[in-house]
Amino acid sequence: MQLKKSQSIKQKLALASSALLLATPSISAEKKEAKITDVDKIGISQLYYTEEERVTVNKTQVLINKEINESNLVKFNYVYDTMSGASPNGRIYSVISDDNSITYTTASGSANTVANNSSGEGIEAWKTSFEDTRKAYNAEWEHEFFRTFKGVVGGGYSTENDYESKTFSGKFLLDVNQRRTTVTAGMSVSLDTVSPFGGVPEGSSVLTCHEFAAFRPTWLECDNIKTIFAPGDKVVKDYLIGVTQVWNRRTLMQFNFAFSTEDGYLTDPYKQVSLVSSELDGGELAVLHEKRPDTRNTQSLFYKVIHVPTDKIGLRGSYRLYWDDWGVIAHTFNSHIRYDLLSKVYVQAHGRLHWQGAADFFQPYVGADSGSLYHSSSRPNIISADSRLGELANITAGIKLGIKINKDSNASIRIEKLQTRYDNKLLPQLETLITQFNLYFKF
Amino acid sequence: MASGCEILIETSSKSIAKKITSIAQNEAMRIEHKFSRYKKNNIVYQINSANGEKVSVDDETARLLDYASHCYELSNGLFDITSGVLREVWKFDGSSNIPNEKEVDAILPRIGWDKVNWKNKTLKMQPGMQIDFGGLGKEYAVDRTASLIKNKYETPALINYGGDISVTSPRQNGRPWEIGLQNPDNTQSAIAKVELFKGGVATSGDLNRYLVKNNIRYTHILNPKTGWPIDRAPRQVTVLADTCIDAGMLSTFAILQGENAESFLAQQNVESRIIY
Repeated sequence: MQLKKSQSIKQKLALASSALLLATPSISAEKKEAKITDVDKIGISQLYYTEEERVTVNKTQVLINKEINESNLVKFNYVYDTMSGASPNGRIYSVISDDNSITYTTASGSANTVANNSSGEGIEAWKTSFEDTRKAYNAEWEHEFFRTFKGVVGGGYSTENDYESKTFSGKFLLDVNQRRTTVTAGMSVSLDTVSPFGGVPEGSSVLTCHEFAAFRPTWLECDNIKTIFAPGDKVVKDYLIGVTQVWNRRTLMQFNFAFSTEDGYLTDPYKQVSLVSSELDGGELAVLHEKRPDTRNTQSLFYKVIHVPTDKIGLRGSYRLYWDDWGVIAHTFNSHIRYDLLSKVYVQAHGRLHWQGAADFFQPYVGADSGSLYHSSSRPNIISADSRLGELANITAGIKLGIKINKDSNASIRIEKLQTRYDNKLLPQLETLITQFNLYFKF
Repeated sequence: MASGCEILIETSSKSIAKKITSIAQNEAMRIEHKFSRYKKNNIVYQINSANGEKVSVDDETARLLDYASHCYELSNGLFDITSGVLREVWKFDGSSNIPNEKEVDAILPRIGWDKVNWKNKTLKMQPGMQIDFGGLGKEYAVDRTASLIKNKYETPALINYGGDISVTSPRQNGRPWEIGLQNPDNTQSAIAKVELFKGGVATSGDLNRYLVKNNIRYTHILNPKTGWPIDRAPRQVTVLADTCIDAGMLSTFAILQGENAESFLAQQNVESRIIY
């Protein structure tokens, strides 16, 4: 029952029907002009992400979209990921270690990690093998009040060894201007608890002192080190208003203003600050826990343009301006160029520039000697040496290759080079290779 | 049209909406009167009751017959407008009334476009044979209506005759028309969403038109060569194409391919959805 010359049946039919309908035959049935998408979707994705010598993430995600009826859609999302690796913890090893490395802390805390780090035994100690797992559940209900007005409410719960987060969110989407313009307003509240092994340390308290240090600042209490542990709770409220504008069939723009307030324990329990003394040739006299303010107010403006100049090329560019009352200001430029090599294969180039200024209370270490840089004559109240709060610039360049396996499944591989330069000369310039592999299957 | 007819018009002018609706209504009625096999004194009746005599036809009927003839060739004889006589033994009412082989075999000599003498706008058929535009009439009406509206108005409109759809242009905001694809197991819900900027969409299948015997489901899509339903045919095939009639033919051809429907559509490189 094989049809004749299957390949050209569509074209032959088009010729025959143009004769029937007395119309000019259309040359190509542009497939992009029309598509069929599932209403109920079950998707599974697997992502493997690695930053050379730093972080490895293995993420499995299940998505279910269920349309209850025309005006109600429910979405469920489950994420399971494992993370391993290391990230800078704020202490200074560069001064005493041979290889000029900075110290690292593990992804997030197990007992091992904290103990090994606090002993300051050197580079190998912080390389203790480590794995944390995260499970996250999200549910969302989308309701169409009328054709141009929709509301979405959602809830989420996620848990790791040492972290728990509950999120509630809601937003409205209103289409105006013949549905060319969508106005969005939303907010979310999240209640987070960080509970490392034993609890969170009291901010700016002493973690460890050098045994042989003859000279100690008067405020440094090394004889009776008493770390107070408690769970750290915080409440984060995010607000967003945005406008999405369809400029024409090929161009879309988006503008958002977002602000948030954070209250509670905002300190990172795994970050530390070195107290440095000239008596130890610039080595660590003591190590303090960092301490951040217990409120933070952030704002950001975001602008994005998506432009599709031809059917084969897609361009995406965005700029974000961020500032907060910790004194951090940041600019981020992001761009993607996508090109369809074949009907099922595309390449995408990615470039990103990010610059941020330091938080007011950031300092790379505390100087013990009077007159030294970063000297403090009393126990610092608010302090952090977390490089993420220091002045830094990031440049990312990368390329992604995507393949459509079939109608509903795709795979992609992404390779990117990330270069980080810190203003703080004690921190080395970092070159990181990021590789990501993603598989998505839909039923 | 033996089905619901719907037309969506995107305009704030009541008078334009009325005019477009009357264009659609007039054209649908005209085509139904002219080509329905249930009417008397139309060209189809004349052909089917010619009893072996030659019948000359008008231009439009000739174009439809030419198109049907192309479809017969392109489907290697599987799409045949003379196969309607099989309805004399096959009653697709969801029951278990399967005809026996003798009954079916007795019908076969009266089927076959290749036995029809069709040239110079003249058709000559053996007595007992019949033609039926049921397999393409609705799609033809949809495309005709869309093109009549398009020639006169820039107003975006969607024409839907019983699930066979054509649009005249994208929506006013430049976005596609969104059309739900009915779930055959639950006709109250959509299983997928079709986005259409232009052209047409058609769905073929055996929803409510099948027979079941010994747990075998017999689709109403019959193989004109054997007189029996297509083996392992998909329950429903939806295709998007430049015109509704192309979409309709491609979805019908796909079902006629039985279990090879999917690879057939993949070769045609059309946007489609198959439900088994």
